Amino acid sequence: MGTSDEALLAGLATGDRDASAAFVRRFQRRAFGLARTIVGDPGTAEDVAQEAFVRAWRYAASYDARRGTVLTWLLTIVRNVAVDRVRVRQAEPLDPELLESKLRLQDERATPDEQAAVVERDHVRSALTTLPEEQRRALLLAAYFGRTAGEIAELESIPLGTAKTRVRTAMRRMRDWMEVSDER
Amino acid sequence: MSADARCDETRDLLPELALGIADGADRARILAHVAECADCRRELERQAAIADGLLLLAPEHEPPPGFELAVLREIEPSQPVRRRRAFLPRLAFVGAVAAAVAITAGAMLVGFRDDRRLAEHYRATLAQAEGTYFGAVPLTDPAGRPGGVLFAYRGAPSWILVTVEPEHRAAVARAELVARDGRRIPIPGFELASGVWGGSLPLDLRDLAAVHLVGADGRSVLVATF
Repeated sequence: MGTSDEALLAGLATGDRDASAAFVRRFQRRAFGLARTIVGDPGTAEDVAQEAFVRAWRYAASYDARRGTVLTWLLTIVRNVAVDRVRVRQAEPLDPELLESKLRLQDERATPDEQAAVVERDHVRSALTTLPEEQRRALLLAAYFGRTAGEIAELESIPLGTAKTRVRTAMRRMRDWMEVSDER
Repeated sequence: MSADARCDETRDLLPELALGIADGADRARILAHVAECADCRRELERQAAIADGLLLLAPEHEPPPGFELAVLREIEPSQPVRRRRAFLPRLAFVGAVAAAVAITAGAMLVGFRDDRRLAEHYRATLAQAEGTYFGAVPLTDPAGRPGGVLFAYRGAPSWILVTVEPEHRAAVARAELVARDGRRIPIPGFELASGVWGGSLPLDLRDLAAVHLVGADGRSVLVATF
């Protein structure tokens, strides 16, 4: 079994060249994949993913294992960099339906190590499909595009209160669904 | 507001916080409550896990050739290693900071719209990291309005982390420590990255009277007083 994610991150933080290279290699497909899913354009996605790794290096000390895995921490950074970039290029319309179609891709054949992660992703994916469309759109606009309730209200031409309710209800339903499926 | 009403209000706001779209004022209120309510803290963790899970749905994709090299080139130390170490306290401590105030990577900003009483409250309720003193103090502008937070840790060495609200970031050029004996000590290499800077102090926390974030014109943009 190879080096743990946390150990690689610690190595990245202290400038260990081998650990840094291994860290990038381990997570680059996921980081670039998420960047590409959010911003669409591969050139911009490359910039976004690169900037995310640089921030991961800078803020490695702020990673807290209690809050999530190294992977989800890194993906949150990717998402935040991507969101900033999309804001700057406001000409691009945000399309949660296009985003959603990208998320429906089946997981490729997974190794035994990855099985648990695949099952988990399936749970989240199926939870998403149980949401009414307008709640799913609001949730994806928030999660992937970092849109605040106010911005969602504008994009969807709905009152602010409605936007907040859609986001909150969507998350509550996701949470309820995940809990039920955990109790297999 | 009764405890239950506060939980209700918090529960309403948790989804936005977990998704990283809450505004500064809401965030400060939620975090103040979450610091003292285990139930709401657990709920926040559940919601944050869902937000994380959503990001994991994005398909992987091989980056273009040369990507790895380009990244490594950017993170090669071009400055003396000593500078990076100054920003690197023991992981456990910064973990406690992050856990206690739910600093999310990249966003890294805690809105702080209340007064010093809230900072005192944080000092009492936040986890003590390895038995050493830890506290939070608001950064305020000349009119007394909050514009960020400063977290302080007494240890060997003592250490601070500042987070600055977006509207003040561009104005901040450098930082100065003011010691209790009146000395003004500039912080070398101070630079906000996404509104955040952290580093060790050249003096003990007990000797620190104030921290000034100063603009290019020499005037204080934000001040934290101990």
